[in-house]
Amino acid sequence: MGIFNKLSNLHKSLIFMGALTFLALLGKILCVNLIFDIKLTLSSAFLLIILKIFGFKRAIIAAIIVNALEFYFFDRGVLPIMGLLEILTVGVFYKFKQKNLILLDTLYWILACIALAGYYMFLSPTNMGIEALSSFFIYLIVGIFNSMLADVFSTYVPYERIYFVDGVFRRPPTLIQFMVHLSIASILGPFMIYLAVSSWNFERNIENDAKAKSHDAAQYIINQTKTWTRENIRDLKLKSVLQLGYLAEITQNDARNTNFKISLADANSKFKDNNKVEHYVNNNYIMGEKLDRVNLSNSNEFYLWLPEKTYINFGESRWNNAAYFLESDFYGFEIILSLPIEFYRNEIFNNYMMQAKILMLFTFLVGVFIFVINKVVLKFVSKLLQVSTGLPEKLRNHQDQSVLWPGSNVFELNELAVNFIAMSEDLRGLISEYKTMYDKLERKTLLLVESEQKLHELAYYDVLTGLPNRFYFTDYLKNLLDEIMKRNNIDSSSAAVMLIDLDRFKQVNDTLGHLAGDLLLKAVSERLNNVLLKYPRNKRFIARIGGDEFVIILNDLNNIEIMQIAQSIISDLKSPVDLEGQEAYIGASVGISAFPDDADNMVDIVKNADLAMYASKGSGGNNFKFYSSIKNLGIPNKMKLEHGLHKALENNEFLLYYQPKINAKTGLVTGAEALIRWKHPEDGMIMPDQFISLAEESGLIIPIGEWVLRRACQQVREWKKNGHSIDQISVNCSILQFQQVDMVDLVNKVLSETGITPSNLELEITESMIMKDSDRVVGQLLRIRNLGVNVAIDDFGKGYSSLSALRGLPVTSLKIDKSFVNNIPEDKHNVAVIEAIIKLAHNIGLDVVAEGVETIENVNALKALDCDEFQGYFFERPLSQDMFIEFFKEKHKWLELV
Amino acid sequence: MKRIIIKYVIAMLAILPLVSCSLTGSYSDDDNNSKSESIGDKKSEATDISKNKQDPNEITIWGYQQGWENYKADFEKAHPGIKLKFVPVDLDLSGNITSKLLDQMAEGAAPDIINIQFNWLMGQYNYIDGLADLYQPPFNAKSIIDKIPKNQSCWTTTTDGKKLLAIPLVPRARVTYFREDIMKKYGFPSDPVELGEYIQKPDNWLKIARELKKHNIWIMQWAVDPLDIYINNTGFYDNKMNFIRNTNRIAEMLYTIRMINAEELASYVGIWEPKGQKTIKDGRMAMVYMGDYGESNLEAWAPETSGKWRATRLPFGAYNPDGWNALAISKSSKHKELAWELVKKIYEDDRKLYTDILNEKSNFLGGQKAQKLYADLRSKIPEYYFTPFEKKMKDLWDTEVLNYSGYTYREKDDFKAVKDIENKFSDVFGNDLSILSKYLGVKNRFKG
Repeated sequence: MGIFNKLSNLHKSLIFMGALTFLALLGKILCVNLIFDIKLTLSSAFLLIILKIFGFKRAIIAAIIVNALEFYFFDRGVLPIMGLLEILTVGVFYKFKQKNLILLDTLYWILACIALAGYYMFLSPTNMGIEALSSFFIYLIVGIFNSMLADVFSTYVPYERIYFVDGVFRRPPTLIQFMVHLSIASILGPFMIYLAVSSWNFERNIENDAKAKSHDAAQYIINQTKTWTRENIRDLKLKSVLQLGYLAEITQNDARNTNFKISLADANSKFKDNNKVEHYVNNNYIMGEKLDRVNLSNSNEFYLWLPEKTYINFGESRWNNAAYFLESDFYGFEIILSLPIEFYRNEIFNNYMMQAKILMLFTFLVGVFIFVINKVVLKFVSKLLQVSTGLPEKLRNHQDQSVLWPGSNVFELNELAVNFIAMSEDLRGLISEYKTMYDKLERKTLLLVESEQKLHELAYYDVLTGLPNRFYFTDYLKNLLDEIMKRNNIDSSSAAVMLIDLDRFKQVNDTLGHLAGDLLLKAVSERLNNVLLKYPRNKRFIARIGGDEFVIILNDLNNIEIMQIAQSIISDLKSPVDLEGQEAYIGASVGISAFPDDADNMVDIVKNADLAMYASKGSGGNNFKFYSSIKNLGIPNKMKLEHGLHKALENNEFLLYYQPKINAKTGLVTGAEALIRWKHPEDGMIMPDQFISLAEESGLIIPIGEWVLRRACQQVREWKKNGHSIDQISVNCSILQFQQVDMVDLVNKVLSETGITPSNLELEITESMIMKDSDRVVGQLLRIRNLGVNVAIDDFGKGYSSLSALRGLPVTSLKIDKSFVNNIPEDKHNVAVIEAIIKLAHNIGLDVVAEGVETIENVNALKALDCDEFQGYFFERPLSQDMFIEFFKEKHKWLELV
Repeated sequence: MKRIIIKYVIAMLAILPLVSCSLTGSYSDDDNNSKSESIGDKKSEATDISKNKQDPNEITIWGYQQGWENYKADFEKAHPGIKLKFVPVDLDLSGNITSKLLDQMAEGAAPDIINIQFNWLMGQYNYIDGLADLYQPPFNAKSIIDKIPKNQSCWTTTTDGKKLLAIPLVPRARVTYFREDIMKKYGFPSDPVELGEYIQKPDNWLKIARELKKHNIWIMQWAVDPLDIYINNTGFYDNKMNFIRNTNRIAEMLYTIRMINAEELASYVGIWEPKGQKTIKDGRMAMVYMGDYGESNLEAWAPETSGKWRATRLPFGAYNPDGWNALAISKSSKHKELAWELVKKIYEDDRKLYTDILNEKSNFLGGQKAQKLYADLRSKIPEYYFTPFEKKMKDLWDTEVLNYSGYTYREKDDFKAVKDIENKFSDVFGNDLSILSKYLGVKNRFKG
């Protein structure tokens, strides 16, 4: 089996086919020979199996081999030809109609037998007797039985387990198939066995009868010829026709012997050779023909004689001349009595016909049985199968119609149907429930799709104008640039970004209200759309990316076209806009940056367009600028910074550095001042003195201030969380913060967000802030102080505020400006001022912090003047938060001071 | 030399009158039986061959004509070590010799070549397996037999025609020899053709008989002569087992016989007896009916009548043979090929002889070109066949005819008599004929 498994499918199939062919041949050899050359053979079953498994071509090859061998070696008669024709005919039709092998084979045998019978009739119309019919009947039976065997094999034997036929799908047998097989097998199987056994018995009986009759006849003849003269004997020797005639008369005088034919053989020509015997017969009986002698018994005297097999001989069976022979000594001769088997022919075939009748009766009864079973059970099962196939689908599609279940008079079947009905009703309920749920789900899914769509619109479109928003713009630009890069043939006018900022929009908004502002924006977006309408859709893209900022992406247009568009926009937006009866005049500043000439990436191209737009605005508005035209003039630093500040918060470019504050008496680090730094992507670290005033000008100080406050508080919380006991963080504030936002709210909010105690926070304000907007600032400071937050006055001494003015201010400490500190103790004037400030401060309960402490002399002088805390490069410059913690860990106690 | 041989052969054939004699007159005679037996006994060395073991290098020919002895020297010279042995055999008038021959055949010791001397004896061999079939190898005689007219070869084949049992030599036709001078003298046609035509009618023939009787001259020996002339030597049944002696002409012959009896028109003296031969010599016999060898017999018996005789056809429209020889080879022969060579030689010479003498004139017959007449008559002999019981049938026939013509059936109608005879034959031979009919595969008219 191991070796077998290793063989390829081709080899396996060849071995399998070879085995079947061999079995077919064996079937021919080991067939059961009935009298009259009727054969019961299973050979064609194997050939039909080959046909079923391997197809027509291989089957016909096997059939030719088997039948040719049979024809050549065993039987040169009709059967091998019929056998070959069987496979040929059945095979041809089976190719087209692979349905019923048994039916095809049965039809073949019926037609073949009719054809043969017709031929027999044609040859000898009068001789066509019961024998021909019964032999055909047997062929038919054997044919059906064999085809059934083949069908049974291919249906039930899992041959593909040892031989995997590609693409063969074994369909389980149907009930009716099973019934048919069972019925045929149960009728034909026993019939064939009975046929074989009974015909064997029958042959023996005939043989014994013939033997007895022959012996009687021989004895009778001998008795009757006892009176013969010498001349009689001589004439007999000379085979005298007359003498033999007398002999025949003697025989025929006895009625029992009339069926015999008498022959005489010379004593010396006694049947020495079984094959060739001189055979002398009276009258016109066979003379000297070749004999095929069949010995039946041990006695050499009695045997069955058959004419030798000849080549294909339709119509005339050699059994027509077959006879039982008895050889007996007779006056020195052999008298040979032959009893033609024809004598028994009718008897034999009547026997066959009787069997055939019984078979037919059985067939009829089984047919009725199958019919009834089919009617009662199979039809029910088939209907049940039909109805229950795709049952859920039927129940779903025809909710309101009931399924027609078959009924039956048989109890079990009826119960089965009832069960099915119950089951289907349950199923129907389930399906109905499921359907409701499904509908609900479907509706929700629809809603979800809709909201997804809406979300998409919201995400990608500006609600007010309906134009794409910044997100969409970024996406679009990115894709466009990627695509252009991929194209690989970038020319100078591949793409351009046109940034449009409205002039005087703020005034309109402030004076006419937000509603008018919205109407204006809608009107602007319409005008922009109108300008671009004449260009193909794939070459233009317009979006609103900020309050009054619009952007247009132009693809594959030359500079002149771009210029025309810019001019059209400017001129269109110059025209007054009707805002519900009021005319508003606005203008537009347009900046244009081209890809790839002005930048090779998305960020730069937008930034450059922005710069060009600023330049345009800077030159009075209502015009446009190409980045290419301004980049060589040099962009002013302030403009660049201001532009950068806009992005810095978004891009998270701000950082906080911390400068430690040291307690003069303990030497411990008591806190730190948070100092902002701008880590510019191009210019590196920018100090606050370079951008704070710019931020205040642009109003950006508000968000920046808020960010600093929040970040500083968050940092304290982190430190505390990490176990560092830094008591206080100081944050610088701008007057604008107090003027434009509610600082109390902000502080309160930040404190609650971060969860630090208010005393940990110290706000630093300048003298000028109190001077400029005293009431507003002081009011807020009071409330802030009430929260518990400390307030320090930064750069004290630099302004012109009198010390007395400090009284009543919600301040907790003073920070002496570094200009007083850095040259003490040499500058005595400064020493005196510092001393006065400290004394006064202490008098009204304020702490004093010295800033800009850079030398040990400064430290000692200040210590002598009873200053509370120090801050300055002597101790440490402002540090990043990591470094600050390092410092805090190492030098949290300044021992020189102790 | 040639003429000498011819003459010799013709002379040899003269022995055959004995046949005619015995068959026409005294066939069933006891004397004849004893006579034939005595002949057999006399030639015991020849007839009892079975007792002499055959020399394996000897080819035996049973029953021969003296002329054949001439072949011996040439044959033995051509086949050194082989001897030809001619065994003279008496004429087998009774069939006894044939019976002995059959014994030898049954023993497998029959002579190699057998000369069949009487055509009816062929019936004995016809239905047994004793003679070689000359159609078969090594003989292959079909080509030879095809050259011979069917009416000459029919009796040498088996009745069914399937086997050729012997090669026939040229048969003798039966003719009417008449005294031309006597016919002329009494006013009857004397020219052979005219007379031949004249005697076709039985009445004319009777007229001659009546007229000559007045002058003590006879034209027949026995009363039954008309039937003998009409149908002798041609068997009783044809090859389909039909009785051939039941025709109107037979009835007519029966009537004629009755007339002859009534008017005593026959001489009642056989010519094969000296008494009879004297009537020829004396000129009291004006017509004799013999085989064509007859002129030499007449010349021998009455040489002084030479030139007065003429030959013509038989009366009553009859044609039949009178004189037959056929050569058969026995089945048990060990020298079949050599035997066949000899048979063929004899046959060829025989045929040639008759061709050579065809135009010869006969001095005895007054210069008549008799051979031409014989050949013509020979060609008109009908086909005929024989059964194994031909002799018994002949006996029965003669008895019946005698009975009728003489006494018992005097009142009977001739046609009824013919029917009665046929029935008598069926009664006696029906069983045997039935067997033969079955064998031949012909309609069986007999009770089997």
